[in-house]
Amino acid sequence: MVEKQFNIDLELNDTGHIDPFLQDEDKLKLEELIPRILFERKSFLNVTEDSLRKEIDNSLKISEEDALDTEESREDTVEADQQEVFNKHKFELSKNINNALNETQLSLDFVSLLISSVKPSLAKSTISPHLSKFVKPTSLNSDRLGQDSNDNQESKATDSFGQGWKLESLGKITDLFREASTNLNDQVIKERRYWNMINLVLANDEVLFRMRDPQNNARAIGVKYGYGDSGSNFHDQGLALLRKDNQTGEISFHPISSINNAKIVEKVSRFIRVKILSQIDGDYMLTGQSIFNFDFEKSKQSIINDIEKARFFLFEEDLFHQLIREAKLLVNYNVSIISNKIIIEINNIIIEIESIVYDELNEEELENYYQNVNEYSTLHNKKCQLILNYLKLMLCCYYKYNLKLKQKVPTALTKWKQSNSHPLILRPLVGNMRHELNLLNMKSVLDRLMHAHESELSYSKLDVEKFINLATRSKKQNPFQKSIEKPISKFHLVLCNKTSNMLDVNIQLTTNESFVNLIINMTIIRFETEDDFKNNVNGINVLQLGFSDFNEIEECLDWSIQNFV
Amino acid sequence: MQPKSISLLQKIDSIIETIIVKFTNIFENLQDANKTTEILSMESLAMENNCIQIIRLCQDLISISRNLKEIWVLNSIKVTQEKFEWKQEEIDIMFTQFNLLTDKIAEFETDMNKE
Repeated sequence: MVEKQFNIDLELNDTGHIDPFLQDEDKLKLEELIPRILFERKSFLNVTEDSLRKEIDNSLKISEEDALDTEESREDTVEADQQEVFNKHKFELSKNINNALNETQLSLDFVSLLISSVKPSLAKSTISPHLSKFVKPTSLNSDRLGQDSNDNQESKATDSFGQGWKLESLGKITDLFREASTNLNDQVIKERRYWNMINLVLANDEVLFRMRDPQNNARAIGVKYGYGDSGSNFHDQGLALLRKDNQTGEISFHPISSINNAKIVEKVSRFIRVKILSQIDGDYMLTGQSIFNFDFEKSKQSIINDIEKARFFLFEEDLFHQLIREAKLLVNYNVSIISNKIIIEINNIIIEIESIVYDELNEEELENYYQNVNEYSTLHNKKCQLILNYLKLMLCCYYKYNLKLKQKVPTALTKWKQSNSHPLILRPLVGNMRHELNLLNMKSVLDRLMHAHESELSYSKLDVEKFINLATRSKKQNPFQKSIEKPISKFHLVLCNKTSNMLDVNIQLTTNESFVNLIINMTIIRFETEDDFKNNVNGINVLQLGFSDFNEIEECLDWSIQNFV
Repeated sequence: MQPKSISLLQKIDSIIETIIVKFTNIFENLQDANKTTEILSMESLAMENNCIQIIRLCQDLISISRNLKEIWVLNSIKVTQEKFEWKQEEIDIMFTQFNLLTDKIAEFETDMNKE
C-alpha cells in the first residue's frame, strides 16, 4: 500500500505541476472515461483517422510553440520562476495535507474496530470495507495483559529509544534556534537601518503618515512633500511612499497619486524658464533667459535630496498652473497661451514664460550654452532671473493668503473667498510694467502740452508722485503690498497765464482689479490770483472727469489750457 | 497611564513569561526515566514545538518594537525651538527690497526705444 502511494506521488511529481485536486485522465476508470469522451466529442459522425492524426499533430505544434514563447520572453521567466516556486510550495503543502488525512483515516479505522465490541451498529457504519472483510469485528479491545518476565529487557530498550529520540529532537532544536538567531539578527539589523532612515526624514521636518504599499499591500510609511498645509490648492497633493527594500532595509522614494487609491506615479519633472525677446532692427530676437538653478546634492542623504527635488518640481508645476489660470483672464491684453508657454507683449519686448521638461542628461540646455550668439543675446539675463524670482515670491504670497483664509472662522464670506480664491501673480507683473509705461506716456503728453503752450504761459510746474497708495498705510504689515494693491500715481500740474490766473491740474493714474486697465481721473481748479492758490480759497472747479485713453485726455487738457489762456 | 499602555505591558510580560516556561519545559522533557515509548515520542515532538513557539514569540517582540517606533514617528508633535515673529524693521527691509525688485522688473530701457 505505502509503496504504491509513493509511486503514484512520484509519477505526479514527474509529469509537472499538476493540481492534486484534479483527476489524472490517464488513471481514470473506464466507466468514468467514456462519459468524458462522449461529452467532449458530442458526435462521432465525422471522426476519421486523418482528422485524428491532424489533431495529434496540432497538439504537438502547440506544445512546441509554447516552448518557444517561454524561451523568447525573458520578463516572463522571472515571474514564471516565482510562480513556479509558489506552485511548487503549494503542491507540497497539499501533498503533506493529503498524507496527514490518510494517516488520520487509518487511525479512525482502528478506532472503529475498537468500538465494534461495544457498539456494533456504529462500528459497521464507520469501518472501512477492506478492514471489515479481513478482520473480525470484535477482535480488538482495550484489555491490557501483564508480562512480568520481560520487564527488564523492555525498560532498557525503551530508555535507549527515548535517548535516541531526545537526542534527535535536541539536534533539531539546536539547528532551529541557530537558524532563527541568524534570521532574527538580520531582521533586527534591517529594522534598525530602516528606522534610522525614517528618522533622518523625520529630522528634516517632514510630515509622515501611515499607508499601505500598493505593490504588496504591506504596511508602510508615506511622506507628504507638497504645500497643501501651506495654502496650496493644487490637485497634486505631493504624497510619496517610502518603500522598504526587503533585502537591505533601506527606503526609496516613490511618488503616489493619493492616499485612498495609492498608485505609484511616474512623474515628469518640469521647470519654468523666462525669456525676453527684444525688437532689434525691426525683428524680435532673444536677448535674455533665466537659468535652471537648483542644488540636487544639498544634503548628504539621497532620500532627503529626492524629497527636496520632488518638492522643487512640484512648486514649479503649481506655479505654472496658477500662471495659466491667471493668463486666461488677460487674453484681451496681449497675453496669449500656446500649449506650455505664456507670451506677453509689452511695448517693444515679448516675455515668454515656458514650462520645460527637465532632462538631466541634456546639460547644455540647462546651462544656456547656445545663448552667446551675438552681443544682444545676454542683455536681459538678469531681468529674466528677477522676473522668475518675482513669480515665485508671489506664489508664496498666494499660499500665505490661502493659509490665512483657512485659519479664519468659517463664515459665509470666508467660504466664498476660499472657493473664489484666485492667484495674483501675473497681473501685478504685467500691471506694474503697464503702469510704468502709462507714467512715461502721461509725462510725454504733459511735456508736449507744456511745450506747445510755452509762449502763452508765464509759469508752469509739474510734480510726479509714484505709487501714492504705498504711503497711505502707517503700519506696513505685508511686504508684498505693492503687488497686491492697485498702483496709484499722481501728476500735479500748476499753470499761470499772463494775467496771473492760476490753473491747478491734478491727474491720478490708476487701474482696476485686473491691474492692466487704464483709469485716469483728472480734476482742474482755477484760481484768480497766486495768493488764492496758495491759500486754497476762491477756487473754481473747471473740470472733473475720468478717462481711459491718453488721446482723449490730451485733447481735453489741450482744450482746457487753450480756454485758460 | 493609558489602558492601551497597560495592556501592552501585560502582553510583553506574558510573552516573556511564556518564553521562559517553554524553555524550561524543553529541559524537563529531556528526562527519560520510567517512561513509555509513546510518552517519549510525544515529548520529542513537544520539544520541537516549544522551540518553534519560542521563535514565534521572539518575532512578536520584534513586531511590538516596530509598532512602538511607528507610533513615535507618526504621532509625535513637532515643536519649534524658537518663537519666530516678524519685527517691524525686518518687514520694512523686505518691503523696500521687494519694491526695488518690482521697479527693476517694470523699468524699460530707453535705448531700446531709440533703436
